[in-house]
Amino acid sequence: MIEVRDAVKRFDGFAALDGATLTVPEGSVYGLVGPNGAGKSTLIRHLTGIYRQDGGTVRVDGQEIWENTALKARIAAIPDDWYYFAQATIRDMCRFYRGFYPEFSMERYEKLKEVFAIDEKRTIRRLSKGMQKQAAFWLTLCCMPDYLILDEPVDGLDPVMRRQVWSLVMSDVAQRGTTVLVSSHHLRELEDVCDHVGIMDHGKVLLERSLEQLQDNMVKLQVVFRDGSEVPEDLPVLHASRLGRIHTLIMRMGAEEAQARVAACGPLLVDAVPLTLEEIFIYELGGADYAVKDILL
Amino acid sequence: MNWEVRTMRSKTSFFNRTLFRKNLARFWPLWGGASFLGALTPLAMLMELIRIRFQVEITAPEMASGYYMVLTQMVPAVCLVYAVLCALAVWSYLFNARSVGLLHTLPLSRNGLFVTNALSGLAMMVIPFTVTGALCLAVSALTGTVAPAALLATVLCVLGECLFYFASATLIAFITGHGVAMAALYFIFHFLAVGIEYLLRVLASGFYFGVMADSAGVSQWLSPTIALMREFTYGEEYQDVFDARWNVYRTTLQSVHLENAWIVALYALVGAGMLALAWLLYRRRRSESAGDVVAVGWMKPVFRYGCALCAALAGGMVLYSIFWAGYQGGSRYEALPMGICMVLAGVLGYYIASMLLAKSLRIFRTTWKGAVGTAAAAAVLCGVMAGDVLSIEDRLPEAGDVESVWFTMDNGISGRLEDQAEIQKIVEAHRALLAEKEDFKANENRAYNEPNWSKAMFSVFYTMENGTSLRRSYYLDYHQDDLENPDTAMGRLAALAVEPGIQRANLLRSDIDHFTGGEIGCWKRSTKERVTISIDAEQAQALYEAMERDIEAGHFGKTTFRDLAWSQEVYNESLYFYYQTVPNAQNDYSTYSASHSVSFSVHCTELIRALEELGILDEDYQLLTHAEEEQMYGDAAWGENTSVEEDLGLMDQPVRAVTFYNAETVTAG
Repeated sequence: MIEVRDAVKRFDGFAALDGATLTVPEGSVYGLVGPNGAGKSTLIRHLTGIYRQDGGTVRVDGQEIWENTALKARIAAIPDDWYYFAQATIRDMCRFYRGFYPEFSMERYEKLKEVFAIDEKRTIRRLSKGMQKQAAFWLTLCCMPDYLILDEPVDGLDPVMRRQVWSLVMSDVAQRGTTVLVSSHHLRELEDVCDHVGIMDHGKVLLERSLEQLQDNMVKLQVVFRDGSEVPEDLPVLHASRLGRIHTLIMRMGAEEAQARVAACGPLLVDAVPLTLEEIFIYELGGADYAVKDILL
Repeated sequence: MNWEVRTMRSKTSFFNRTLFRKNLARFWPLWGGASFLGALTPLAMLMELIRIRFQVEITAPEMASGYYMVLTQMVPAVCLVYAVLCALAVWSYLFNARSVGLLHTLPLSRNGLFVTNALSGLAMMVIPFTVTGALCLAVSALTGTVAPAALLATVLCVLGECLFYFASATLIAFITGHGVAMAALYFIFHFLAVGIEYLLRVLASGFYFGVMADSAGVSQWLSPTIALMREFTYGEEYQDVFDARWNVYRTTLQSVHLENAWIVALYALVGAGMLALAWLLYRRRRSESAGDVVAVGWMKPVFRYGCALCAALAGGMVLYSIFWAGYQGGSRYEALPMGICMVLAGVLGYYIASMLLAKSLRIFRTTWKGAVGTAAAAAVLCGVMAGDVLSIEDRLPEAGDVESVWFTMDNGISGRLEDQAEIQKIVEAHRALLAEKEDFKANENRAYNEPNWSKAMFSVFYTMENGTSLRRSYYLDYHQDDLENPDTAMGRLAALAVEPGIQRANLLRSDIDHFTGGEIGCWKRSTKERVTISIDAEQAQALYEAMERDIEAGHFGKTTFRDLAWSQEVYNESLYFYYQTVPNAQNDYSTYSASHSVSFSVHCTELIRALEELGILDEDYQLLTHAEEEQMYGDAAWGENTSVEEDLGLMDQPVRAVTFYNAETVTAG
């Protein structure tokens, strides 16, 4: 289990992490989402032992990560800007990783050679961005990690390869119980793979729940009121829009409760529609002053 | 599984073979190129040996001398440059957020990273020396000569210097987070102390009467390359050995020894300390400091205000020389303009440092308080210097505290005094000079444009009993009449010049074992030529004794500071003594033969009488003073057909041509 409690990290007085608290259950796939500059990458760098927090705790399996080589041997990460040595080939980097990760599997390396159809003797520098990303996945998965930390992992990958790498990751989760924490702006994809989601903003984790809980906690209602009247003011609506006579209401509550509250207003029609992760992200952060603004230029 | 993994990693946590190999493999062009360059010398030696078919005789001491020459004169400079390259290579990951991310994500502790990378860097330092040394050894073995003790000493010293230089570069790598800044700071760090001392000396010499900007003091120990190249040397012992084959004595190198090798050991120890400090810094280093000019928080103000200080000193003097030097009255700085220049330069340096630290040009609003502080500090520094708060200008030692004094004055009079009574005379003359310093300052440069004014030089270097030293050098404008007044500083200096103790230090040599001969040039009236007369050993001894009598009688130094008298009374030819040095004299390893020349004047009656009594000078062979020579040379050069020698009373016939350097050598007597 990954546990972050009240983590604080300051850069020249600016709090990149401002009391972030997060829990990633064992064997889960945790999606960390948030706007640019929310502190996601900073949090990930703490989880991989690059940064040391100024306050709070960052633990994996109940142990502090900082300078814990035994623990780090069980964690593999793909940062958003994966580093490789200037003249290195994939084979060179394979040898390098092998020298550090005791569980590094050459058998898996050979198997994945067929999945990632890249010439292992080519200099990584000469590969395209997407191929470099594939190489990162190739080598990272060979480390046989118990914890996999991914920061914008599928950026630059084509749709087929995206599916392929997610399939590999999910099979590790299923077969080896790997715990995955993934930070991404591709919310649609996260929705497919994550079972837990945390939303970060301004260095804090605003909320974290299982995807089901998240979807249960917010509801989208499509409502038609009698005589085309407006939305009653006493309804606790996060966001409302109207198309013809149909009102679309976003409410922070369960579907049943929301329907009951609207039914009390005597509508002609009430229908609950599940929210996508993207909609949850937008409406949750809308309350944190992160709404899409209608700006006329 | 956790327990097993932890146990396994802990065994290797201080060293990772993969990283070590990777470092050597990645940076092979560096150590490979250095090895190739180093190998060129032994390969060239080998080619030369092949060319001459190994017909060479090299002795073990000569071989050792070769090792030590390279060790003392080349290795410090090579290490200085090469160490920063090796350190840049192995620590470069610290300067890039991506690479530091990879290395710090790996399951290897910072201890392990530090030890592995440091060993990689040291290996890269040592490999080229090893390759070069091994090849040299192989080539020298081909000549049948090896000096194992010298080789061992050389290897140890090279290892010590490699450790020190690499450690210093490593420490700088952990202070900064930027590759270019690291290289720049490394070289600045190595010469900072000497540089600041020099700047302070230059500034002091501009403000203070008699203070010179020369010579580095104790700061050289903080600039190891300078200290090593000055103090870490080697000595050679020679001996005259009879060569039966050619029936001659040959001066042969007998043995070679390193001098002050403890300096290398000391710096190696300092290097070990630097590595330990770097390790401590690494344990606390923030990965996010990659890209910062200064990565250690508490070093940032040191860097900021250090830059401001250096800029105030160097930039202040540069600005002053550009904008004010042309308007200043004398040769010394004026306080107000210099203060303004130092403030401007100091604030500029402060802002540049602040911009580098912040990696932004927009720092004025947040750092103005520091700029005000810097301006105030620069003004105070200038005020302290200009006001001579530390009494540097008037500093004068008590004679009892002085172990020895080296003095120099006009006409090449110089020497070293250890006798307390003689030192007291120097100190008193120095005190008298300082008492009149305001007059000397006011009269500055009058010698250039006023008649009867001359310029004199007087320089002293006191070595104190406590090991410190004090150097002063004065250029004094004075009226010729001052020399006749014993109460004036110049009168005292003139009296000092004829003191037997001063002239003994100036003219007598302590390393003479026995004379082997000598020579003197003079004018031969009969042939109207300048001739050189050889003197035998006995004559040289007699002349030396005559010279000693003249010294005791105060005949030497009478023309010192007297420009006109010097020209009219000092002979244009010097008397040369050739002698063998005493066997254990300080420089006996360089040569056993030495020479000593003595310039003398018409006042040296004992010497002139001895020259005449020995038959060296007579009616035909005579000496000319500078004035006589100039007059003769001038007339001859201009082709005037006048009776110069007749005018001079040297001969009856007019001079048609003067040959000053005839090859004829006449044996005296």
